[in-house]
Amino acid sequence: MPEQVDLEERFRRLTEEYGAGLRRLAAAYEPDAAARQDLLQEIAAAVWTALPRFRGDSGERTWIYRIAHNVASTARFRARRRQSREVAWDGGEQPAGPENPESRLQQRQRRTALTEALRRLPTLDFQIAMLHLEELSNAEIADVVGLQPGAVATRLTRIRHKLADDIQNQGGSR
Amino acid sequence: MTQDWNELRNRWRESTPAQQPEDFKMQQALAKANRFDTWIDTRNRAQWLALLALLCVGALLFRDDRIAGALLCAAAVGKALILWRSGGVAPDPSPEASLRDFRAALAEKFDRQIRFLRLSRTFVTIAFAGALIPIGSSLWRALQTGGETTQKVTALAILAAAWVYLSVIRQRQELQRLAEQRDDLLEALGAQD
Repeated sequence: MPEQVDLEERFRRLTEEYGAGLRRLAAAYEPDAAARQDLLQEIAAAVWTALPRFRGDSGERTWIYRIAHNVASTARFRARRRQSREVAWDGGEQPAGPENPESRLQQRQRRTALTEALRRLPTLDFQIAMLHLEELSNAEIADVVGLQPGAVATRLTRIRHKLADDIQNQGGSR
Repeated sequence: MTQDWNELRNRWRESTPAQQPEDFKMQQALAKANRFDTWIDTRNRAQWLALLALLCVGALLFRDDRIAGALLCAAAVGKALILWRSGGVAPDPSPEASLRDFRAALAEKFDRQIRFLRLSRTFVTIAFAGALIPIGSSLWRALQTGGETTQKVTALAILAAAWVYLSVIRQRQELQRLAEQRDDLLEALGAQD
């Protein structure tokens, strides 16, 4: 029983610490709010199931992001097969932003432009970009995705250019 | 470029969806997973019971037509083996692996399932085709003699054959689904190299 209490405590701490990052990750994978909720629950279940096996061989942050991306990418394959209706993420559950409606609109457009540009990336680039945005080091990203840190650095340079160009083009076309 | 990236990072941070009360409720998530597992278990048990019933009926009622009885039993035993093997298929690889290893393991799992399904479909098709001949001859005899028991037996045999046939169709759908899943995965894997 003390072990169970300890596990629950660890789980609670992990979800508190990485909750915001996991919600961003789920939002990037799943534009639909209900599907996003399901995905977060799937991630939570996978983390909870794997928690007793976690011995700290890798960093906690890389461990949790590995699980989250693997669960989310599997869900993404399923969703692609379902050919579910793509619902643009409108940021309907946003934290309080500026009061001015014009500023709010601008902020929403900026967010949407980024998530749309991210989703247009190939799967691995999409995952690397998200991990980088979550401020994981190149070594940590390499550990999560299974590449060499040098390869991650090269890809990141390319991804940065691609994202910046894509967002600029979106801005120009609006 | 660094400035651009910092700007992107700020946008990323701004994009955090608000926390919902349902987020990370492990009890809910586990209950959902358990419900699904229970449903799969129940379905598997029901299929096993149906097979057992079929075997009993086949053995009892096909006493006079040993070839038909033997083929029907062979089909049922074959289907039981397939169910047993399907139930023992390894679960998804651990999501703790790196993304690359996880997808490779998942693709390998799909490959194994596809190979197994192809094999089982071949077996069921042969058993079905083999059973059609004695079932047809039984039906012919029943129509000629008009014996009530033989007619009932034949009707049961036809039902069993239809069931086997439907399972072949279902396996074909499953194969198609698995092949699509595997293609999606391989596409993603290809994008990594």
